[in-house]
Amino acid sequence: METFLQLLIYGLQLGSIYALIALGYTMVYGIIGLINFAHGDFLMVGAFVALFAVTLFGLGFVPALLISMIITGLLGVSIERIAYKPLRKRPRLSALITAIGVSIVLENFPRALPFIGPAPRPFPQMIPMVKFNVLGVSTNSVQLIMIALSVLLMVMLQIIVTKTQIGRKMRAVSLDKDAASLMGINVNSVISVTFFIGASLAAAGGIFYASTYPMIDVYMGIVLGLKAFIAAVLGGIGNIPGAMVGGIIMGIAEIFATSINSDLGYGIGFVILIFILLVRPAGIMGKFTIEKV
Amino acid sequence: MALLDVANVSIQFGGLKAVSDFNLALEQGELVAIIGPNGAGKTTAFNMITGLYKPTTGDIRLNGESLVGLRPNEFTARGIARTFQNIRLFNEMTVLDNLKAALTLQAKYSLREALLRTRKFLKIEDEIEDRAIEILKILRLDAKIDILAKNLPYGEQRRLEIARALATNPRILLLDEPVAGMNPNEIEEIIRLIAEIRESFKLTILLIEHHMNVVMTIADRIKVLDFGQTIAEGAPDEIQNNPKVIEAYLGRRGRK
Repeated sequence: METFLQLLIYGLQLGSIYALIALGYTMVYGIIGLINFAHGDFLMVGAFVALFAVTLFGLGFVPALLISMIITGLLGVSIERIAYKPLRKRPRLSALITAIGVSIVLENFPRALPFIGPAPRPFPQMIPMVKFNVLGVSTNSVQLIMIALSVLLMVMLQIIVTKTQIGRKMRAVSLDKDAASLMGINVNSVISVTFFIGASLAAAGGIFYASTYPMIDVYMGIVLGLKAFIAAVLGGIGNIPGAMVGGIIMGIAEIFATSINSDLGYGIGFVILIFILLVRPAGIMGKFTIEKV
Repeated sequence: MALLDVANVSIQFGGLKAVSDFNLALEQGELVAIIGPNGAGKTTAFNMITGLYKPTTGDIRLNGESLVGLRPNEFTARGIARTFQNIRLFNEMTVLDNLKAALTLQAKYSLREALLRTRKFLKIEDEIEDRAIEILKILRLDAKIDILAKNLPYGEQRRLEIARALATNPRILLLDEPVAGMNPNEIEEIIRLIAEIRESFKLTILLIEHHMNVVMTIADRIKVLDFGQTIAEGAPDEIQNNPKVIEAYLGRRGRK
């Protein structure tokens, strides 16, 4: 029982990181129908921005987190404007291939920079580590703060989407771009906001990940991004609560599988993906739509 | 000067001239109907007047300002709103959210203000809600605010489209077949509603309609399109007896 709770809390922590990243995939897909393969790299950018904010400017955790979220968010907006917007009316495959290209640039450009480079960097410990022991389960301040912050960010996102004007516009644009535009909604700015939110949540996810597994490098976004993508598909791509649930399930499954065998942990996500695609192709919360003929 | 002045507008899709030399001067407060057989180019004309299509040639002026080349939301911001022939509501959103989403001009606050729930944010959100409910009351949809748009009965979906268009605070309202598929009672109600909103919102209305009784009852002026060309224009009784119009609708009588 204690082992179970112990694993559960690790799973929750990893899962909430996957969820934060999966949200960006799902929001961008929901609004422009694009699988943004560069999304995983936003979390790497976020982690590096935070690293420099701390090591070069001596900022604390919260300012570093906020600055990293803002800068990564703006990077997301610029990438959409430069790379994806010109292709919006083109076949989807064009934008998809462009996204892969953007991903390669985002990974290898920093790799070529002298102050970043290919070697892994240690990520600073920004929150004082205090260990607790509750009901025989050992946990620590970092873990609990990370989980709490992830939940906070997800609640904030849910409020934005359901209770504010920008959220209504986002939903309207994702449902019918032309009709939204004819109701006076500026579709371009709504898409920009979506990219901003998605990329900044990924930055937060990257920082939370690096705070737990404190080694970062330019390729850290590949595997993490892939797993978050699976989480988004698992929950039903385009569905925001789905991405949250999918992320948590992925994280917990991975930790439990790892406790049995570490190779199994790596592969479990793909097993889940295959299973979901076979049983419920639209995902847990996705709606299965029948194409009208 | 006319409120809306559409001058010599044509549009071409590949080799097909969908609308040619379309002219229309809408005076403040007028209700003009466009009629014509299927495929005559009526909806295409609407799509140009609302900015969805950019005309190949010609000019569209609102109060003297040319709108050609602007995006649809900029047309809307200047006071042109519309409904759709095949209803295009935000189906997965509630009736209230459909309205609120269209209240874009009223809703001026930043993401930061929304996150911090500033007083300005709360005040604007309240105003949006009040305004949305006010409009829904006029369209008799205020009892349905929490229902998803897709779950409304057909006639109410049509009314919600009108309500949503009104939320953008238009000067000119374009209605694309507002009574299509309705039963006689519903048609009567829509006719009453159109007259009511025309009065209370001081609207200028342009509508496409196949239902002749409706057109003859409410239009001040009728414009007849066929194969992208304007074949007749005038008051309802003139149009009714115009041989060209009868021909377009019924075909030429075979000579014996």
